[in-house]
Amino acid sequence: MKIIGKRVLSYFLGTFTLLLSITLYLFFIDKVGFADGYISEYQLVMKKYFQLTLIPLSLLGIYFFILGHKRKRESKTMILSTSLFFLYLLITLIIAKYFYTTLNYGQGG
Amino acid sequence: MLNLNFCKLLRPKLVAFAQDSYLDPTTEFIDNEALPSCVAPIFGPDLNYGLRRKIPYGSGVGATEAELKSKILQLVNIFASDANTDLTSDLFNSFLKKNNEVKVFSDQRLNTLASNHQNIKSFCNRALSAPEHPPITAGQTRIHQALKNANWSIENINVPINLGVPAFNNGTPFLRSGDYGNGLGLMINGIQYVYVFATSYNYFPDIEKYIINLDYYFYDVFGLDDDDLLEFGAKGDGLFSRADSVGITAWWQLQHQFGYAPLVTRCKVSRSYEVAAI
Repeated sequence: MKIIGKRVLSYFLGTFTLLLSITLYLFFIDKVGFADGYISEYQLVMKKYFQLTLIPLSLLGIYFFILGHKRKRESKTMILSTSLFFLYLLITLIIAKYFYTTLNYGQGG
Repeated sequence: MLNLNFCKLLRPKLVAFAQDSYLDPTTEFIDNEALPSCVAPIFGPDLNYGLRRKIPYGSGVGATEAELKSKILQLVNIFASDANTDLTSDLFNSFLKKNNEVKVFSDQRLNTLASNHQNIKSFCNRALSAPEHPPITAGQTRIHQALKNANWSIENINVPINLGVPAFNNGTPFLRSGDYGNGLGLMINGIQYVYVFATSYNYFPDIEKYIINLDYYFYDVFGLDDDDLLEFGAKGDGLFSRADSVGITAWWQLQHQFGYAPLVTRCKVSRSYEVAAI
């Protein structure tokens, strides 16, 4: 991986990760259940999941910025942190899809 | 051709029931217009109202009814800007009439919206759970399974009472999309009770088929409790206060400090099914 590629990738992933954290917070935590407090089983599970994972995800985003700022970026660290990020995305998608199909998201019955 | 008029039940028969599992039931509400006297939903603290209660969060967003009314109506502009603005306004104005007792709010427009809502369509089919009318709630006894267990005699069924309640919760409050832009999320969001009545039923053993007409009654409270205020309200109406949070606090104050009785929202949806009795 070229130096410029690693720096750009680090800043890009840092920005993307932090924006993703904010978006997920706004969609799955903030104002969920508005206005009467009703939260479906699916919303509750996803809210708890993101409450647990959004701080570590944001820290990973900050770490990407630190990597981008560093004079020397080790390929091993870059690959590890990038893999961690994509692993998180994959796990999140699997969890979201699984619970959407198995829990009450508002359809009841 | 089968004529449903020949198989009307003498009186509607309750065949399924759903209750919000997070509900803390405290106050019974009788709706003589729609429900038989033996059936009465018991609502939670959001049905309470009163005078001069101490606000449990912040200092309030207004001291007069006029001030609070203008702030609560901001919620309509925020969460019913895409569609159903008139209906949402009508519901809020019914509340702002300052009723001295809890009343039912029902409206044909609301019934139609419910009938066409994706979650309600799904709920209606799941309540029956007949294989040819998907989606079904697998692994649970619903109306179809209860009829089968009763050898297709509707008078002998064990009424399924563990159905999950549906909600008008498509979209997100943050983007004011879906139900948070068309007023449904604001007016109702989660439904607290559903009663499903069979109004007609006929079983044809020779062709192994039955026809059933179902009326679904959905009940919710248009009112707020302390938890709603704590979660979504504003401490005051300052520079950094969000208009939606201010509206929620104004709503709570009108209900609990100025004696505005909440409303019980009721929607009715009807469905007919022809089902293979297998």
